[in-house]
Amino acid sequence: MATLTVHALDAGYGARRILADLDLAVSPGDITAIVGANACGKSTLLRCMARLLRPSAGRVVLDGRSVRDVPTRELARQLGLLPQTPVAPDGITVADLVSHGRHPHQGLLSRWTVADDRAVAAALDATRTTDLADREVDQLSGGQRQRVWIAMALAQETDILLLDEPTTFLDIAHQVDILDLLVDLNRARGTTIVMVLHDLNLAARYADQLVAMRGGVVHAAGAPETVLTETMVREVFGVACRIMPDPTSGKPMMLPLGRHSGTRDRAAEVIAS
Amino acid sequence: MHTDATAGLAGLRRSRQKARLRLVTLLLSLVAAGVGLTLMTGPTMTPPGDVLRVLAGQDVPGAGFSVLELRLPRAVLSILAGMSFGLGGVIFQTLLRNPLASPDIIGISAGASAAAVFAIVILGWSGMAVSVAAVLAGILVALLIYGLAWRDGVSGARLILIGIGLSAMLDSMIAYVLSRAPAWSLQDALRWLTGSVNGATLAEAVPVFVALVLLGGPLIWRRDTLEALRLGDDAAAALGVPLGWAKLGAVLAAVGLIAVATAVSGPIAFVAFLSGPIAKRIAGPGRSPLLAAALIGALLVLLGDYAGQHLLPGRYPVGVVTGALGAPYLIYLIIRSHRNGAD
Repeated sequence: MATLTVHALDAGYGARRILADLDLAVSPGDITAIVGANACGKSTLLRCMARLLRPSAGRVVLDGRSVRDVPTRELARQLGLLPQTPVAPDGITVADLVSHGRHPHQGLLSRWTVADDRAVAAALDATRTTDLADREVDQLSGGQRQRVWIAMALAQETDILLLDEPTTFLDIAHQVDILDLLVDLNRARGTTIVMVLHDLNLAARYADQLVAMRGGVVHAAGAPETVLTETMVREVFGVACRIMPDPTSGKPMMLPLGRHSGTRDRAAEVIAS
Repeated sequence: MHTDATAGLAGLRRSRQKARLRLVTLLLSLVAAGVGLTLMTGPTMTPPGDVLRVLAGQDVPGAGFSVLELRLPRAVLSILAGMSFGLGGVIFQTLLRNPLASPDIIGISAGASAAAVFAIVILGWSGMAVSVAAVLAGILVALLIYGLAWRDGVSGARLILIGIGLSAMLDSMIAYVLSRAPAWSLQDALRWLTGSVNGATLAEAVPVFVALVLLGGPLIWRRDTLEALRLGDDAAAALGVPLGWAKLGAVLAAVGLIAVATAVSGPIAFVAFLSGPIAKRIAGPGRSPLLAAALIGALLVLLGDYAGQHLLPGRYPVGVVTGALGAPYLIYLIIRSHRNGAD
């Protein structure tokens, strides 16, 4: 099983430093959710891991090798990334988009084979998009479109899949649908999944490993039960909250407290504490 | 377990390949028909039988010279230049994801043309040296546009506006150089301003052919990479596309195609700009129609030249005809992009 670790990573855009001396070990075969306030470096971390951004210091290590030393195509066969809000080219069909996932498996001289068709068919099947194969991506609903992009990443057949906010802009039904799909994938193929999520409760429910980031470093990482605490939420998001067990899964569940939550005195007392 | 779906996908792909093959066959036969017309038509019409006999190497009195020396080079250069413009244009439009980002709109053709006319008129060069100068100038203009449009990355709209400005400057430079050469005719001036295949020779067409094979061949061969680039930088890189090399290679190849053809025929107006969108319209959704765009380019030049020579009152170089076709489309695109609120 592929291991992915990050050592003393510094990265940013131009003079702006986003990640500062960040260390992280992704637990292989598990689902990892990265949470944190806006602009804390979650996407930057994913982009460094997928080698889309060159870190100014530190290393990303895949199976004992720095990703810098892995040839581009080979890296794309081991590690896939679904960017935040990807844009499909005009008029592209679902089958064509998903077929792009086979790009790293095609050599300079090799032709499209039955194995490629099989991988695409399996990816469509896993994401329940087989019936959409000849539709144009532009004409699909947001939830369908996201499933199609995930199908493209599945056709890539990587051991590790990174997803940058895969549930953003989706309604709650589609959010749950996409996360269920990722769990299915993790269980059926053993794919290591690392995703940035905004919803703390969904992150705690679906992730085996929860990583909370703040100001370009990992603030806390581990099982959701140990990471999702009232102290962490206050330090990372600057919000007072209550944590209680989710009645169905037993995982921690977070309820934020605003200035107007509950009876006035009670809320003020909690925020003051 | 997914055998049905796998077979379905393969079927889908085969039927689309067939559709694309039919389209290419249709375009090829139209090009062949255009060549036939060009070879037959002149001050005196040559019957098809005579044309075929001349092409087969037989001596046909009264037809041999005009078919082999006048009309055939014209048809050959029309096809090769048209394919170069069509392919170069669609590559730019695909990479920059904007139909306005065509090399003849953003000044790359004008740069190549200015270099060619400068090399010929002022320096007295000819042949391959002119092609090389045109290619270098095309690359230089491409770099200049890119550099001027850079501000924390390059936006397509800014790049296009800067390109249009540069294009206007280069056109005035061409006009200036031509005005310094009083012995030149209006026909020659029009060649470098709007493009023409008048007085074409087969020797002139050789570099265009070589460029098409060496630059156009790899572009069509490696089209999967171009398709992956259409997904955007991050998605393409995550699929293992080496972004920098892939883009640089595609841009240089497209600039080379445009510049070599421009050095011979001048910047035939709007062929690069029109071919891609027309090909896309006919080919329907799916991959970027590179081969179809090249063939549409050949057809535009071939038929535009035929119309300019034989169908209109008076004789016009091909660029005047294609320019008249392209200008309304350009206005339409600009109006549409403003309606959509794009800036």
